[in-house]
Amino acid sequence: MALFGGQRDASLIRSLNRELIHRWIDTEVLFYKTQLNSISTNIYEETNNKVYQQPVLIPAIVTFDDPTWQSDDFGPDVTQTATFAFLLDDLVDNDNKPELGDVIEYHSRFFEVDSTISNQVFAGKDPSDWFGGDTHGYSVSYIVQAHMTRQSKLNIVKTRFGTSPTAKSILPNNL
Amino acid sequence: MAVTIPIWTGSSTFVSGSTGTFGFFDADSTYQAHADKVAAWCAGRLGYPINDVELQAVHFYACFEEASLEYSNQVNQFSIRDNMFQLQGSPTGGNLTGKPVNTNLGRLIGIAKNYGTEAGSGGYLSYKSASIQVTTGQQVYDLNDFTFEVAGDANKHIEIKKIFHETPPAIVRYFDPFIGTGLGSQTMLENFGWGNYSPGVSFLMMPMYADLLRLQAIEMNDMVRKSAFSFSITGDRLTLFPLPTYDYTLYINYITEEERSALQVITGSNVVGDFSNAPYELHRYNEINPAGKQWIFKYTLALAKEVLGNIRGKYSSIPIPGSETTLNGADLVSQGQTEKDALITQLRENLEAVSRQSQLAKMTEEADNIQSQLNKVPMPIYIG
Repeated sequence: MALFGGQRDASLIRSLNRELIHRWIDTEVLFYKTQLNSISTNIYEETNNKVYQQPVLIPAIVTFDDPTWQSDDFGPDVTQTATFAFLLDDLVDNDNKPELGDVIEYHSRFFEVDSTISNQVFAGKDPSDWFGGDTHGYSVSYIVQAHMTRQSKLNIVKTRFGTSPTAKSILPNNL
Repeated sequence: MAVTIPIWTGSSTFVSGSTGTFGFFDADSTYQAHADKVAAWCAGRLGYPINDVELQAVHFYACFEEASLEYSNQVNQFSIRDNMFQLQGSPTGGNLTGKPVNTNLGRLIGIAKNYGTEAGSGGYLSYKSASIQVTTGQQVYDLNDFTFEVAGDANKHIEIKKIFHETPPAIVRYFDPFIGTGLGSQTMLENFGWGNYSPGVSFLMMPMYADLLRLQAIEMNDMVRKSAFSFSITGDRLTLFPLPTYDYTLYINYITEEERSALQVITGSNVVGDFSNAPYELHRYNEINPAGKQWIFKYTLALAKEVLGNIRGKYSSIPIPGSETTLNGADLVSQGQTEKDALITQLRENLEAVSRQSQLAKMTEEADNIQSQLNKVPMPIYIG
């Protein structure tokens, strides 16, 4: 039986993390979980019309990479990647872990999940799969790598339209 | 199964006997009332509710009790130290906490008795006697040949305190016609023509100083014209001066070196011997004045900082999602220790300032200052 990293210590780490992320940092993202059973796919199980569940507000530590601009024959384009570090407990409590293809909204931008990592454990043990039992260790985080995606393909917000003070119909501003 | 250990929630309820402490003060109603207030105050000083305070009520109670104990301990230690001279040898019964102890000379005289032993006046040791038969014409005697009052002392190292070998007192030779100084009264009577009336029983009233002068004359005569009575001791050999001219018994007084070195233990059960059994109990919390209570509150906070610092410092870095962070454990421990040291120093200085010695010094200084001031008051010339 390990001497360090027991449940009391884990509770302290959890408590400190919650205080830090919920109260001090206090940045939250909107998480859109893909609703697979509502999506119609073709024979290759591809679709252009994804459907998402109602978004959930989840605290996270967000790290942006600098946007990268590219210009080609189709014109300029911008890409940006970001890392969203969640406290695993927050996701477990919500029963909502981001997976590939899910979308995270932050700072009026939408990021599509590329990868997830969950290997940051306290005292080297994850109580969910430690052979010694569930009395030691603590799985701290759930790290999500994502890239900024086009809003037009998400069907989350209406794009390419605007309000015209002179027209009855709603048309995009630039048309 | 994730276990959540509760931390400070902002309030607590003190239950006497269920606080996880020794419970020295639990029965005190004032202490009970203060326990929760002190806990809340300490939590506030540690940042609650803006910050989480990773302590439970039991931590604050433990700190509060330790602070109260420390206060009582410091004050009692000072009192014991200040009064120990009077306390040693006194009964252990009763409780002197918070009570003034007047000085007495008992211990002082007890110490002085050892000097009395050396001076042959009182003391803890009794002089014992030994004797030997002095023979005419023999000056040197072996101390081992003495007859000791306590037979067992013959084989022990002894220290001779007195040898009764002295010049006979002048008074016994007052009427000695061969003394050399002469009894002038007989000659005077002869000169007056009364010498033949009653030669055996003639008296003349003389003043006292005449007797004293005569005794002094006899002593002076002995000192100048005769061998002085003296002795020397080397090892076990006693040499008498002058050469004995008649047989007599010589007495000495002695003590054994063993007796001299024996510990003078104040016998009797249940007497104060040292710090450990001086009759000082814990102070009653409700009788501690506000200054003392304030000290206890501050010391509680210092202890709480130390505890919280130790909790936060168990792990040097704490994992947070995607990174690590360090807490202020070391700072809290350092702060707590510094504050504790400062409080202890302050309390000791205050106690030292009111010690018996300090108070006497202050009174002396005050009297001197008053006298100095009074000396500056002009003295009017009385005109009747």
